Amino acid sequence: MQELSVRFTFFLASVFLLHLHPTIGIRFVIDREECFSHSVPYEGDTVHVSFVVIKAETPWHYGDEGVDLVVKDPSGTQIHDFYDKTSEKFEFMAQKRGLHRFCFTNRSPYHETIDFDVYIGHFSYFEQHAKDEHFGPLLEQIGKLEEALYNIQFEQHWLEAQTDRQAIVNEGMSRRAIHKALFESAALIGASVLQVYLLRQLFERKLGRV
Amino acid sequence: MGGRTRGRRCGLLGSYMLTLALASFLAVAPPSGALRFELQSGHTKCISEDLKIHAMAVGKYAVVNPSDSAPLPDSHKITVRVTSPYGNSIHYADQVDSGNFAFTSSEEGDYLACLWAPDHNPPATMAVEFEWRTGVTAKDWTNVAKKGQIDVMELELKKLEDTIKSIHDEMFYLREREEQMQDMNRSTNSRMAWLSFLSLAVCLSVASLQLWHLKTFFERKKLL
Repeated sequence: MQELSVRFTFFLASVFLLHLHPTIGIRFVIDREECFSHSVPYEGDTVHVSFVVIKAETPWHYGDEGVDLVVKDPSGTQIHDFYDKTSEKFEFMAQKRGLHRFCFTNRSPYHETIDFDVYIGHFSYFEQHAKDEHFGPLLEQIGKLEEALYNIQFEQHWLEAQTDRQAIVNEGMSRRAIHKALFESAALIGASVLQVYLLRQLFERKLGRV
Repeated sequence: MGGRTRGRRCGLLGSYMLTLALASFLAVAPPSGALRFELQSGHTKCISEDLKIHAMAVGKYAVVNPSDSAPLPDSHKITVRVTSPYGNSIHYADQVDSGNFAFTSSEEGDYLACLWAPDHNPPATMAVEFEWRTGVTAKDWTNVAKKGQIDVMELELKKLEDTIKSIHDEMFYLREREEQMQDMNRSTNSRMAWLSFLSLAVCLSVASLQLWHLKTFFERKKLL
């Protein structure tokens, strides 16, 4: 009887640990609106969400175009919304289990590449029930460690996305510096040639008349 | 006495392996950690993922059946293509309702997985479940367990070790990127300084050229 319960807890633990899914991190191009759904397996799970707008395909590659994000729970009630943000990282406790919807709306008329990441943390719920289920203490600690590591990976993914965004902005800035200087020089030379030409015209006309 | 306990231990290990296999089957069957999005007929949706060299990637996609009893209608089929950053096609599936792909990246860059639904009259919207795992999460841990006859504890600890290693590698990569950006900022800074001197020099030289030209012009016309 004891062996059966041990085997059962082992089974539960392995199902649980194998189900601990790490972050999903994807990049996609948004046109006008894009919606994603992700299932939250247990009520009371902490859902960590982050998104970063990597680049916006504007002609001159400038400006802080942002997106709106609306988070809805399975019954359709709005949990969170963010307006015109280029990057955001937040978390919430899921009140219901099921498919949560994340809808992005593009604010600018250009295509934007967005890096989106969702991570579901189970252990806050797990701790409350650990005493009831008699999970082996070692497995429980390993589970907690795994969860902490996935959390670190989630933060790191966000950092990486931010770094990518900054790299693109910096490259754009460098290119724009050169373009600006060349354009400025060309404008100066053009303006001076025009000035000389106009003055010559003026004096030749006056001299011609005299 | 020793023989009896050894026999019992062997039976226990076997039953543990069975329960592990059952649990992993439950974990593997539906892509439960997947992201779900809507695909309209005639439209394409692309998802990209930045992979480093020699990174393992595993992907799973399935069209969600709106009704549980009826089979999936023929219009609910998608075409999937996975391409590498240099344009090589890694995986191609035409008119399927589910599938999976796995590969090891040979080039570093953005890998694109594009799904499109064929045109249909009236336009239908189907929900697609898509899951893409890279690196540590792409490894098939159940195979690792079966190969080495390892118990769950050791398996989990191995998984943790791999995760920590990948975090460490990512941190090195982030440090490299940071250094690159610092270099670029420094170069942009010095470039802006040189270019503003250039602008000033162009301005002054052009002004002096103007003065010289007008002077000779007026002297020629006997006005000065």
